[in-house]
Amino acid sequence: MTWLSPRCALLLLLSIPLAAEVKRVVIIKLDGVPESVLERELARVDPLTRKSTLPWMDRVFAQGGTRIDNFYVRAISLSTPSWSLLDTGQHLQIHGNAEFDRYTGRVYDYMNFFPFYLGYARSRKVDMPGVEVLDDQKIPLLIDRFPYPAIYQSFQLYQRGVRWETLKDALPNRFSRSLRELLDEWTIGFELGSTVEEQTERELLAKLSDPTIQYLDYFTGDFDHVAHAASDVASQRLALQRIDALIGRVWTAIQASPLAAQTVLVAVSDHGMNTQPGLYSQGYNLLHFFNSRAGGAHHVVTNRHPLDEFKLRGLDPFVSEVVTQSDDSLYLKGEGDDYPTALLDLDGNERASVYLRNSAFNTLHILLKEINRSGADPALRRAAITGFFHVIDGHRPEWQDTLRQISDELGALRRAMERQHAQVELEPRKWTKEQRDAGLDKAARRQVVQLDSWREQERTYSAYLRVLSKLLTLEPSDFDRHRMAEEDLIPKRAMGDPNSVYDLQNYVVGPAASGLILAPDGSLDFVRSFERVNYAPLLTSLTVRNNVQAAVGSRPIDFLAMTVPNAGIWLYAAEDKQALLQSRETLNGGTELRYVPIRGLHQSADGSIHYEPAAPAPGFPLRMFEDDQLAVPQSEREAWLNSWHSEAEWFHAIEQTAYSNGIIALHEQFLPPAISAHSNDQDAGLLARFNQRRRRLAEPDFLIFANDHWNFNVRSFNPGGNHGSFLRASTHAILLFAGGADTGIPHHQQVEAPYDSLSFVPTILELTGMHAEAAKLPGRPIEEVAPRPSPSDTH
Amino acid sequence: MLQSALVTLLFGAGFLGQPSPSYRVERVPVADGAELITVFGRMHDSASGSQDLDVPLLTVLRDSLGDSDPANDRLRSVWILTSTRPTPWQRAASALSFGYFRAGSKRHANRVPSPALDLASPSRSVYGNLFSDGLQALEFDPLGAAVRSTTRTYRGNSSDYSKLQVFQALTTLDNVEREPANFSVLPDSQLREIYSRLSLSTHTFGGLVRDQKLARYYDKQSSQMEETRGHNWELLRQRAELNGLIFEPLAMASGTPSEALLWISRSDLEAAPERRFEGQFLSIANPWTDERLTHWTGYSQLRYFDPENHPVPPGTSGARAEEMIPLALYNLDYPRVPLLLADFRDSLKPKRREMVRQGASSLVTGVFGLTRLGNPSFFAANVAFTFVRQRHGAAVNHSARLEAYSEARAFLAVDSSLDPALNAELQRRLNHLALNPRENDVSHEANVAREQYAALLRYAESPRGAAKLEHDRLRELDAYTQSPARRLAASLGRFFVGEPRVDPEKTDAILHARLDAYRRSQYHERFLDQLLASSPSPDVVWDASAISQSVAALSADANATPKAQLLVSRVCAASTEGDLRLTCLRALQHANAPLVPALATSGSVPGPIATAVPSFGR
Repeated sequence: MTWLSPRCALLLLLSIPLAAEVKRVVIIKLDGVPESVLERELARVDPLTRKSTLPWMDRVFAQGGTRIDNFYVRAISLSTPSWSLLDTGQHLQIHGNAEFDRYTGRVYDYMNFFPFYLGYARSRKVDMPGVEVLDDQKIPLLIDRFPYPAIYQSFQLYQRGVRWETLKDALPNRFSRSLRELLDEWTIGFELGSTVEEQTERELLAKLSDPTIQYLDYFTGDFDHVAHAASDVASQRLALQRIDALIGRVWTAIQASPLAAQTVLVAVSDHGMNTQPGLYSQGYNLLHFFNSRAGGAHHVVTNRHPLDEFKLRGLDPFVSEVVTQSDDSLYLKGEGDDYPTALLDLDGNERASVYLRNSAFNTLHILLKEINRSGADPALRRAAITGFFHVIDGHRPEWQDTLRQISDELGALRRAMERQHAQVELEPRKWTKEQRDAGLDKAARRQVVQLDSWREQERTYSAYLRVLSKLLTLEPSDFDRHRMAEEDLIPKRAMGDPNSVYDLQNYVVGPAASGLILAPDGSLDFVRSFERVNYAPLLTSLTVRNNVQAAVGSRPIDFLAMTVPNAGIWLYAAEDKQALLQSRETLNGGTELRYVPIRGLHQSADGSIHYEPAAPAPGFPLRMFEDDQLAVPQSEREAWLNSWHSEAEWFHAIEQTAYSNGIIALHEQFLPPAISAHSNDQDAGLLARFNQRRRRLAEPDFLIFANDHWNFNVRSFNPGGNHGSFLRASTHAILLFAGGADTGIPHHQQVEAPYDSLSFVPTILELTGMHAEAAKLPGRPIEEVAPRPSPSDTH
Repeated sequence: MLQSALVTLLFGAGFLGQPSPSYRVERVPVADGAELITVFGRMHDSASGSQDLDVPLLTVLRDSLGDSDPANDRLRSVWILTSTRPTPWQRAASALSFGYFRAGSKRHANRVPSPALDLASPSRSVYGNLFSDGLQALEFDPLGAAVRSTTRTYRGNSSDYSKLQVFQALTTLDNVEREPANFSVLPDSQLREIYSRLSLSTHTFGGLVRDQKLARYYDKQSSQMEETRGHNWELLRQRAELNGLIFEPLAMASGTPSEALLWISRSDLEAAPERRFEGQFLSIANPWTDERLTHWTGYSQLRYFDPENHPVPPGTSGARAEEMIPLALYNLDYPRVPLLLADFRDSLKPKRREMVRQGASSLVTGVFGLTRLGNPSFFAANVAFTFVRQRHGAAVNHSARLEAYSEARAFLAVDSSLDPALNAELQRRLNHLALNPRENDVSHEANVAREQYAALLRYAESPRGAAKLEHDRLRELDAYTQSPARRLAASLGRFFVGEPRVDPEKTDAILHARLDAYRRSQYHERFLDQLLASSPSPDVVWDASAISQSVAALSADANATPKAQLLVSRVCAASTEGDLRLTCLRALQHANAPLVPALATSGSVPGPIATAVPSFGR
């Protein structure tokens, strides 16, 4: 017994990290704080204070906690997709700050809080739009892992419910100051924008004293806002110092709380920021480009007004859809409200998602106008009618499939609506305080909201199907009987099916300058009758006249990315600088990726893909070959890049390069939407397929990535900095941990190993003892912070 | 054909070697432990065209009590040396309604200028301004259109002239702040204080803002300026790109661009005469259809560009040359939109626009007597109209326009990157915007400034200047030791019987010692106060030894106030550092003061939302 005692004591000591106990997690969510800026400011010693410029972050995280030095955004470095990964730990379902449904024109405006608040006040909404999408896909948020009464969630993108008390108390608290204080503020300028954040902080600090609260978070977009507007060190430092002071207050409150020893404080950002002191980020107006004759003279839909700060309409907080008509439109002049032909999501600004109307719809529309034109040459009209059916016949099999499948899915949806309606009717109209505290009222309202959403889906998809059905049942003789209305044959505000590579290389933007042309045999000459655009070379060859910054090139566009079925993700920088990113599943369920340099990829009308292999050289997309930071010897690079490697191998090889984890992020970005888990019930399967289809329909034709220090913002100007691309400055985010004595968070630790967004939730779950849940997620927990327990510890 | 020379210039400041600083700061000790801190600017010599004039622009009296420790410094008067008292003709002309012209220019000013601001008592000007506003509204306005219009115009011109000078001084200080070499003479904290107080002096209640808010105000102003410049830079660049024009930002060395030029290439003009033009935000006529440009004989430059369209020096391999015609000069600091200051095709256009704006205001307020405070319906209509115009990008803010004009004036006066001929051309066009009869020609301001500076130096060394300093010190001491009521009575007394006699030849050592103690005490109190407001644990954000020094200084101070003891007590309660706590406890023991009960426990929760970042003049 006596000889055992020292050993027991030693074992007990060694077991402390394993027996770590975390009863509460506090997450400070920082929009857009880049690791490089944080590092710079943490390392800087203020000559006056002789402390770090960020003294609290230095004390809490750098000295007293763990920093993950190489933490990256997975997928594009954009808030909505990035927070969806950080808030769920699941693969990407939401691909932009705004998305559009190609069939219905519906805008998924994830960043707009106002319709949500109004809808919530009218009992028509209960969650932010992003949460609704994730709920449809049956993907839980991190907060859903905790009991409803045990969470405190601040205002953010993936928000469930609204706490009116916060808003109600915010203003009175803001103004409950001495007259002198108010006079000072009035003269200096009231900062009403931070009112809600201040109130949220008050509430969070108060909640920390409640030991039943297990999860708290606080979101701030202050730094992101400042860094978009100004690249100067002083402004960004001040924004970070505000965050630092916040962390000081929160940490102090945690130390004074009953769960101090068992509380973990985490600071995480959703992306970095491509910002450089002394340099302005330059905007290129893609809206003007697509409006222009050269760009196809499209009527373009965006989710916000361009230059909204200079428009009275820009004050409308509920706007989610704005059509900018093209004066140069070749066949739809003045019809932009009914027939926009391009949808753009430009948010984030270093990339743009482009949805173009299916080129076949354009062809049909042009032909229909010719057919309906009074005084049209009869021979040309006959040829146009024949051509019209030629186009339909070219798409008949796939359209028939679409019609049949969606009809089945809508049938299941209607039956689900009936069941949901009956269930909603059974819910109580009044809720007790206890029920509200348990979140039951919100759960019931969620059902009502879903029912409304289903009704809308049923209506809009049915409308699209009606037109498709009409097209498929149309006979040439129908044109002789009566004039066919455009809206009966061309769906309004719909983009139709995604464009193929062939479509985008031969995109029909209007009739030829000389109009439709007959071939010698009297048929329509399809080659010469239409004006076409090949988008990839056109976009990547754009240059600007004004280039006053030596560090910025004259080409705004870096490369384009799109999926090529059965070939991979096609990256296009120039005709001779292209690549295919290919993936394959391994026998053990893992994924391997390969980067294949190619040139001259094109698709024939019959759908076959052609390209030539190319030797890696400087200038290919993602510029890995010439990157000094690529962790592969120069002599082996060509072979290495052309070979299959696991995700982990890629990550270690490329994370320090200029495009950081671009390969992995692109793979994540273009992952096809998952079909959600469902029961064996046939209707459940159809509904899951319908939701998966809706996700697929929200995918753009292609993504455009900006060159370094370029952006595509059209709403306003972002000279300070931008994000959205795979450039390391934009993807390199922050992740910091600190914890009380019992949490086992190591002190003064810097983790060099690279991690990405998918590691965040499993790490939190591991820390809080939810090992089984963590194991189901695709990401690996950060072992340096939360070592995986031995199998006997996993429940 | 060209009358002007075709000048080959490097494009933008990026190609210039590091120029010598445009501003320097000089310290001149004056009587009895005070010093004059003067900012000098390197300005153009209009006679020679070179930039070799060393012109004093701004002087501050710093009462340092004869030592180099900033803890007992007190900043006092600020003189803007380019600002002069008006000549009689300028005075008369400035009372003329709709008199938008320069009434001569003062070439000499040998008197000591009036201080623009008393930093020791910034609130004084607020009450004076409120009094004169009240007098205008209650006494002059009811006397009819003639009196109302005249008095309002006179006061308006006077106020605009003061603001113009203040804005110029702010531009100077902004540039001084970017050159850290100057901090050895004028520490950053003092420079920021001067900047903030001067800037606030252009606001109605700016003088009432407390000292502890100055750091936040300065930071806010600086960030706002950077944002505005970046925004306007990008707006103008994109509009230039959209319209096929050439954009050239102009910046002082080490600064961000504050002005910008738009050019058009002659070859573009010839190649695309019917190009579409979208003039929103540019405020200039379509250059693509302008006959004047087709036959342009005015100023032009030959520029070189590489294949990436970067401007490059002449002789660069592969560069192409283009002849450029200037179109317009813009200021980038006007909120939300670049402000047109010079139009090369229509010199008087900016002037006409400004006259219409000011004229409309004079007509409505001066002649018709409609004021925003006196007529609620006019107020509502005016607010709505202004809001809509502003929303659409119109330059409706008179004060901001004045600031933009003043900045451009100051920029052109010291800039050395522009071709002298272009600089002179720009100054000539900018002169058209001089609508205030009180304003002097910029070419005479250098002389005026040097003469006033010389007069100021003489005054500072004179017994009169020394006596003024001693009076100010006595008053300061009163502020520490006397109640407000007693001080009011004393000022009334001074009003009737004059200032007490002071012998400037004799230094009052006791007065100095007492002032020194009070100032230090106040300095340390302020430091600890702001430190506690900024962080729940002061030693986390500031070096503990510096805090200990302040605590020790306060505990050793015989005049320490109860507030000082309270501060020490709070520092003790909030500190996590052992030595600091010990110092505090000893200090409290020494003073027989208790710990603050509510904060006695270390790590207590701070109050909601304290000041984010402290900034002290240490």
